[in-house]
Amino acid sequence: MRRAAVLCGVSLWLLGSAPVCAETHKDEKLGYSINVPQGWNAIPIAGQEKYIVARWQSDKEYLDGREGVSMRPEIEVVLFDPHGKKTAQVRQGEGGTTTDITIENPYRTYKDWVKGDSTGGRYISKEEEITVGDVKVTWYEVAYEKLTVPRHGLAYVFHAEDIDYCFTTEILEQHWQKANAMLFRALKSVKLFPRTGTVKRETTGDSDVTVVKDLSKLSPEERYKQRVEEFERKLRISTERLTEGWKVVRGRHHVALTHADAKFTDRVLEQADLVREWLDANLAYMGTGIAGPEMLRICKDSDEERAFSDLSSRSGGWVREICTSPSDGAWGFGWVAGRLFDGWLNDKNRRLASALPPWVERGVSDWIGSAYVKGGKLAFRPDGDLIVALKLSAKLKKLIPVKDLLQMTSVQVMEWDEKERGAGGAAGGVPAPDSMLAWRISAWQQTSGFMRYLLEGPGKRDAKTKDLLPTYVASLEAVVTEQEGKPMEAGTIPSAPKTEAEEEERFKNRESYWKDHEKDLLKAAFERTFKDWTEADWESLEKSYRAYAAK
Amino acid sequence: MRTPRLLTLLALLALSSSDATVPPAGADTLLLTDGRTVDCPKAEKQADGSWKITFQNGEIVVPGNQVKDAFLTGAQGYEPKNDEEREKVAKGLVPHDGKWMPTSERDSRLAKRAAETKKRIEEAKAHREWRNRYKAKTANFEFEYTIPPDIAKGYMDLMETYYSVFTKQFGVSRPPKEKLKVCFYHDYETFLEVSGAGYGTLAYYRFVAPRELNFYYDRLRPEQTMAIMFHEAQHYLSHLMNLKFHIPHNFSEAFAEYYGGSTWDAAKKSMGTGGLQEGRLTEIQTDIAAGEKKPLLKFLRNELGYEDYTWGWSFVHFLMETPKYQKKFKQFYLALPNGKDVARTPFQMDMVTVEGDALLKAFQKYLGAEDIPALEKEWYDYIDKNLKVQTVAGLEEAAFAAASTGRSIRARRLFKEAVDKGSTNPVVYLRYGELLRGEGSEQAEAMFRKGLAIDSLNAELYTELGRTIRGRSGEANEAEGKRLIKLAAELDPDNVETWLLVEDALEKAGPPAAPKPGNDKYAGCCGPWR
Repeated sequence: MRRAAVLCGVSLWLLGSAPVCAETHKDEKLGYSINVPQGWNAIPIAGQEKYIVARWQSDKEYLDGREGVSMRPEIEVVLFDPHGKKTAQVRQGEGGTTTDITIENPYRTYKDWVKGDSTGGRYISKEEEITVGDVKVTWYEVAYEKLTVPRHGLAYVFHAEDIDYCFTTEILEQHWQKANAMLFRALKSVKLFPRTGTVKRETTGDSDVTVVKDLSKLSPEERYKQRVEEFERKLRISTERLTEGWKVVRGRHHVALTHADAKFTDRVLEQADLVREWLDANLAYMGTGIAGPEMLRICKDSDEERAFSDLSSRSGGWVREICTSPSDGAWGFGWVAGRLFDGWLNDKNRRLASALPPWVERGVSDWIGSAYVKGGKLAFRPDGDLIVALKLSAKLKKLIPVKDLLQMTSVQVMEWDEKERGAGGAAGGVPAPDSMLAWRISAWQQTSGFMRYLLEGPGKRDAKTKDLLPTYVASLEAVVTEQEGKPMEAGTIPSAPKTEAEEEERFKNRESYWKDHEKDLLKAAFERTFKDWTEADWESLEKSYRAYAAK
Repeated sequence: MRTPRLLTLLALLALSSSDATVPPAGADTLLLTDGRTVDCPKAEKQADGSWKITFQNGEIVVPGNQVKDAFLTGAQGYEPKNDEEREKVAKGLVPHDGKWMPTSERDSRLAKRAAETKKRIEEAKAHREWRNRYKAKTANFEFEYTIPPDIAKGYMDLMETYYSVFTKQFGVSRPPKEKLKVCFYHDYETFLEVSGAGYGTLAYYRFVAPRELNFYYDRLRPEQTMAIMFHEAQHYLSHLMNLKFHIPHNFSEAFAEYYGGSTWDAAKKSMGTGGLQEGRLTEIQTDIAAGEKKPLLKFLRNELGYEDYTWGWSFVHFLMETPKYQKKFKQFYLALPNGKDVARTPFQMDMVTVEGDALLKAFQKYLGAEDIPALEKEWYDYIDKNLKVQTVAGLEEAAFAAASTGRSIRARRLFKEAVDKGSTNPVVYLRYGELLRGEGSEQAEAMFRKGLAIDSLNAELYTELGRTIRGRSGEANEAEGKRLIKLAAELDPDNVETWLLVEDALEKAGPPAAPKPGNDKYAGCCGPWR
């Protein structure tokens, strides 16, 4: 249990320090307390985090005018295990359909931590053994100097007999002189005492390696049941880690952990639930699975969101939860919707999710991302950037023919963009003038454009294309299933090469195998979908799509 | 889908290692000539000048010429050789520094010497921390470094020589009040941490103030260290042509790589150019083997990126080593920053550069090369006919490249050629031994032992040797294999990767040890940390 008390500056004033208030954070379970500068925001620790146990963010933003950056300092508490070793545990996940591998690689020392979790361009500029109270402490300072924003790191590592408690912080170098007294005061205030809990805390396991095994073992309902149980476990852990002011709000399909106001929270939850219902109603043909609930993390602003999302590198580095905040604006709603679609599709049909071509994956995701709530229903707003992109592409005769677009792999989409971007873009760091144009007419944008044509444009009404998406998905699913179930032909398992020439030939072929495999897959799905189409059908589609794009 | 090998490894990670693998606190310390230090329970100098180091799990002999300094904690007992000596020993005398003296005096002298040695070794260790780095000024550079000063000196001298030779050739000189800062790190990890370079970067020259050059010392490949230093120095020299000009990446890197292959002939006191960058050549050959050749047009329009270091280097090599192109190409390179007929565009801050089509146009004009496909063919032919891996280092690079791309037959051939030519890189013996294991454990063992003859302190070689021996049947092999693996752990106790190998190798060691109970006032009721 955490208790916060406010210590005002009288005693500090008597000691001759600045009259700064501090709030005492006391963690009985972990056995430590610290006086955090007053006004600093306690950030919840994500369920997936294994080593950081507390974090506070400054209420003040510090600027570095020369570098053009700003920073809110944070104080973090990290536990180090000086005798820790890397271990791995293997357990069966979701009803035997997956194998979860939990990798524990505890930080052993502050140097270990800095190596893994700091940006480069720094070195430890100070290392000194001191005593705080009756506890041995190593005092570190870190200088961030080369190819980075100049910053000053400070850490006190308190050596208990079985573990080390590290209290660490960082600030822009140009503010170090003025701010260091406040930071030192906080770190020197740390006290250790016998803990009531264990230092090894339960985590959600989101940073662990999950290996898909056999999806067909359980029925969709059984899988759903297990999914819900696992969700509730994660929700419990995340709820236990909330700090003061956070609330848990349940919607129809989703649960929000929120630090934003009730109105914004309701908006996010309502939209998320409507997105789920839209997906279930309109894309049900994508699979037989039943999508599980999702947790939404709503921070009060982008600073809090950034601080919350940033995890230790050995816990995955970045949070896997769906996070947003009011600062994200309309983009945030789109982002949440896109993530919900990813999760929904994964639960619905994991195999299909990994086989979708860009025009479906990106197209549907962007479409969902443009959704908003209007009169209690989901509506889709026009995408200004996309409209401009399609118009420009049409005008410059850069529209990719539909036949080609539908067979493009991700690599081909990227290659198309690279080619259009032309010289100078990547090399000099400054895009050539025509590169900006190339960004706008990107093939990625065009994949989204064609999906819009199908879902809201003339394609939605045309007899030939109104069912194109479900037909295509069915074809793709069939092709993937056939390929997976294809028995190995005799002699297809190659023996090891016997000569260097044979080995070189294999190497040459292997380099292009994956590229060709994806191309072949999309080609087969394409041919199956459009086997009855005539040249006239294609001409008609091209004409209609071009007109839509140019409009 | 994971491979069975990975599964095995991951499962094994769950095993705790036995206490026997935990190295004791080192009592004696050796400082090696390459800057490494070795802590061990006991070290003794042998009659032949070598050092016998005793660990819990075995003894290792280190050649005397590899040891720079030694800190020993205890005086060694003396075994009298005849009656006269026995009599002196009985009187409490011991031989030391060429004469007999009371044990107390010997111990006092030893203690004083030990204290001095310890201080030297501690200083050497401390200087590996960037905050304690060495600093030295030479005629044209300010060096900051963490490698041993005697090694650094050789590179500092070479850098000055390079500067002196090529500033004359290029007709450039440094700003009178500015000596370039050169930061030289003792290993790659420290280079990445302190210099801020991204993983994969080997060195960099910072072309805006404060200008500086950063690179690291590769103790296993000193020739590579020199090539990298020359490469970065060439960036600096090229920049001196016009400090407001940013040389396009393609020619900047390819040109620097060409000059990175420079060699200094101390006897003739001359700097030679045109040396083969065999590591780069190896990468080109790997691309060709995979059916890929980089188009010249993309290079000339600055569209290649990383391949400027490999294919770009070979193109510059082709032009600089082909008489009909050499002069014209040099004129083109010098014209880039200052020529009146080259179209430049703004770059970062107040700098300018040459981009894409303008670059291509300038190249074609200065070289008189209208037919790019024909030039491209000439270039490909040049690579095919003129660029061959020749040296041991080149063979090593080629072997590593083949091994890392799964071409084990080719890798074995190249490793063998490197070994036959006298490779002194222990990693060659390690990787070659691993490849040979499939053909027979005796061959693999022989290769690991050859590697240990070169680097008797290489933990990975002991681990692999131990694994190989344990792979054979019989209790004796099992015991010997384990001993070698535990010895590896003693040699490299702080390396997580080594521990992974050790734990993997000790698969048959039994179930994990039970966790130790919490033992202190901070341990709570719910159990200890692990």
